Amino acid sequence: MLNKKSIAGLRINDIVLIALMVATLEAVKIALAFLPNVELVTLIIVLFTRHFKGKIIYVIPVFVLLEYLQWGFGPWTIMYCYIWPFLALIAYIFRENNSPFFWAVVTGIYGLIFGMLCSLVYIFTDSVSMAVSWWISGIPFDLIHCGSNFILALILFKPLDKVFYRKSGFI
Amino acid sequence: MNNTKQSNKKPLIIGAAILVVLIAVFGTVYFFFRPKTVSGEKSISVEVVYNTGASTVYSHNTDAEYLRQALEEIEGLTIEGEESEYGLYVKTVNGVTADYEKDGAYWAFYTNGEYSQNGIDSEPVHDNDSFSIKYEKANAE
Repeated sequence: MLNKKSIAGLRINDIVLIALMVATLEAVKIALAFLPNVELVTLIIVLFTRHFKGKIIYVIPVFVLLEYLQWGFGPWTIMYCYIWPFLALIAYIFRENNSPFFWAVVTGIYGLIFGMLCSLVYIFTDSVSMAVSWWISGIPFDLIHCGSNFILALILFKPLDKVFYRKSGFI
Repeated sequence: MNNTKQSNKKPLIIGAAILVVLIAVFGTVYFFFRPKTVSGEKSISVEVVYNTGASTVYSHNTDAEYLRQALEEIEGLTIEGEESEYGLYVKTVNGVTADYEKDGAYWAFYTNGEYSQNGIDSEPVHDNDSFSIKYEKANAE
C-alpha cells in the first residue's frame, strides 16, 4: 500500500524524504547563521543532488518557500528562485565526480560568484549600474563565502558523501 | 595507469587555476572600483522622516568614513537593529520601530536624494553629503 503512486508520481516515502531534506537544509542554515557568509547549504544541496537526483527539484522550492515564510519578501525573493536551482544543475551535471577537491573548487567558485548572480535582479528592478555597484560592494563577502565553501567541502565532502550514499541506498 | 591519473588530475588543476584567477580578478575589481571614502572633517546632514510624516534634521561634522559611524556620533539620534552579513540592519530610529514582518515597514536610506546602494556599514561619507532615513512600507501606494 505504501508503494502506490501518489500525487505527482511521488511515493509516501519520497514525500517524507523530501521533508527530511528540507529540514536538514533549514537546520544547517540556522546552525551557522551566526557566522556571516559561512554556510553548509551549498554543500548539502550538492550532496542531495548527487545521491537523490531528481528529488532535488521538489526540495529546493519547498526550502525557498520556507525562507519566504520566515523572512518575508524582498529582492532576495527572486534571487533564491534561480540561485539554488542553478547550483543543483551544476551538481547534477557533475554528479559522478567523487573528488572532494573538485567539489571544493566548484563550491568555492559558486561562493565567489554568488553576489554577482544575486545582483542580476537589480538589472531589472533598478539599473545595470545599481547591479554592478551592489555586486562590487559585496565582493569582500563573496571572497569569504568562496573560502568557507572551499574549506568546508574539502573537509566534509567525503564523510557526508558516505552518509548520504548509505541513506540513498536505504530509501 | 599513470596517463589515466594525470588526465584525471588535469581538470582539477584547471578548475583550481580558474578559482585562483577569479579570486585575483574579483579582488582587483574591488580594489579599483570599491566605494571611495574620504577622511578628514566633513559636514553632513541627516534627515529622519517618521511614519507620521514629521521629520528631524541633524547637521553634523564628522571624520567618519562610513555612514554608520557618523550616525552613531550624532547626539539625539539613536539607531538600533540586528547585525547581518551586510552590516547593521536598522529596525529602530529614535525609538520608532519599523516592523517588516508585521506590516512591511522598513527604514529606507537615501544618499543625496537617491536610494543608498550600500548598507550603512559600507556607505561612504563625503563632505556636504545629505542623508535621509525614511520610514517606508513595501508595496506602498
